[in-house]
Amino acid sequence: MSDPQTQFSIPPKERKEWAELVNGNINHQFQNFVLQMKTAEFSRKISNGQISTEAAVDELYELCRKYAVAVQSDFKTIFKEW
Amino acid sequence: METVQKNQLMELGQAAELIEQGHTLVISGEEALLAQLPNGKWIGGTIPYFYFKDQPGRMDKSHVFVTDFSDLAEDLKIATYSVETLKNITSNGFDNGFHFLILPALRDIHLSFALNAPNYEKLFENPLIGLIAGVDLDEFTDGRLSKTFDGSTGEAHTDLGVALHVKLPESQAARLEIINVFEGSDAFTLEVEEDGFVFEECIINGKKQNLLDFIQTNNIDISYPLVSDYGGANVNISFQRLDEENKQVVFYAPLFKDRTYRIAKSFDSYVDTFKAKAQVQLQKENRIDYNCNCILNYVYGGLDKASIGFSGATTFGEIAYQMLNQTFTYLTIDEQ
Repeated sequence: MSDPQTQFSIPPKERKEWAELVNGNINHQFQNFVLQMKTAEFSRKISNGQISTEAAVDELYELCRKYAVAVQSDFKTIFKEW
Repeated sequence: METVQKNQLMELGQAAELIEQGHTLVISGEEALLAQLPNGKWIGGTIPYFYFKDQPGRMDKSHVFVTDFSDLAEDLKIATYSVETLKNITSNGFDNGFHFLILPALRDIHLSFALNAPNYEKLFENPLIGLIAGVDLDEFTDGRLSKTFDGSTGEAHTDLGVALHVKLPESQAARLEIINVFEGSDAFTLEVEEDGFVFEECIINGKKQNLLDFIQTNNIDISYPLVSDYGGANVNISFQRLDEENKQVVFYAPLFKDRTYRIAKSFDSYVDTFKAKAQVQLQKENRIDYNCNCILNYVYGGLDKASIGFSGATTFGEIAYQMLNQTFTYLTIDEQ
């Protein structure tokens, strides 16, 4: 995936909230359709052993980087600040 | 919020002129009209039902509905896909952009997409948006087939998908969103033991029973879809028909075995419910570059008598990464 130059940042991948999101431990409904779909898929695939938490975080992080503008209000709720 | 007004019904000659000027277009309309268009950078699908921002919708067989992506597309590719090759669609585009896919209704490729799209590689890297082509509903009942058009060659297809892969500049990101007025009710839960479109026995409220019997006994209104919750996104599955002869229920999209489905809550007015939901959701959007809505919302929601505040072509199913039913779908562009 390309590396968009964006004025909007997202929290660093090391933040624990990423892993909590993909495992379904943070019960947050994204406003963005693709992130709603992906977080639902991640928690199901992780519990089925189809994907590791690390791989899911990598994938979610890349998507959020792409949609950095659209996820700002979600991230203010989830991560508060970064 | 700006609705990019490159999304409108027009005379065939106007569409032909845009093609000849090199515009990048998605065109919906009657087969006889699409077949007259010159070759160029466009793809199309048959459908004669349209809805409008400022007036009620209508069936119109003498105009075509055109969405112009020229100002967005830094580059593009047009491709056709068979049942065998469709899985490659999400790998064949550009690093940054979107894929616009049109499939013919209720043919093998439509059914294959509906079942298999969730497993396509790179599915979520760029939006996969599009529509299922259709025809006049009376003619569809009589067996007329919808068609997809590859404008680069002028060929029409009853069994192939056509796609427009659009490349966007690095400073932009395409985002696909839906407005779904339907929400699952608490009336009953439904699960299935195998993925599929046609069901006899289902697990209803935890008990295996015949779905047709359950629907008839409980007077379930099948103009409302089944709804499944995907992390907050409600995904609809519409009823196609009740097959009394075979004691089966047929759906327009597949039910998957690892999901729970609920019948949608009823409401008084599709138009009012849509407007209320759209007003909230669209506050966050700066622009809408494309939208489509389902023929079932047009029919059951009375869009031939009222406006929902948008113009677009109806569909026999919406493509939003996977197969959706009865859902308003749109594409927007984020400036980074």
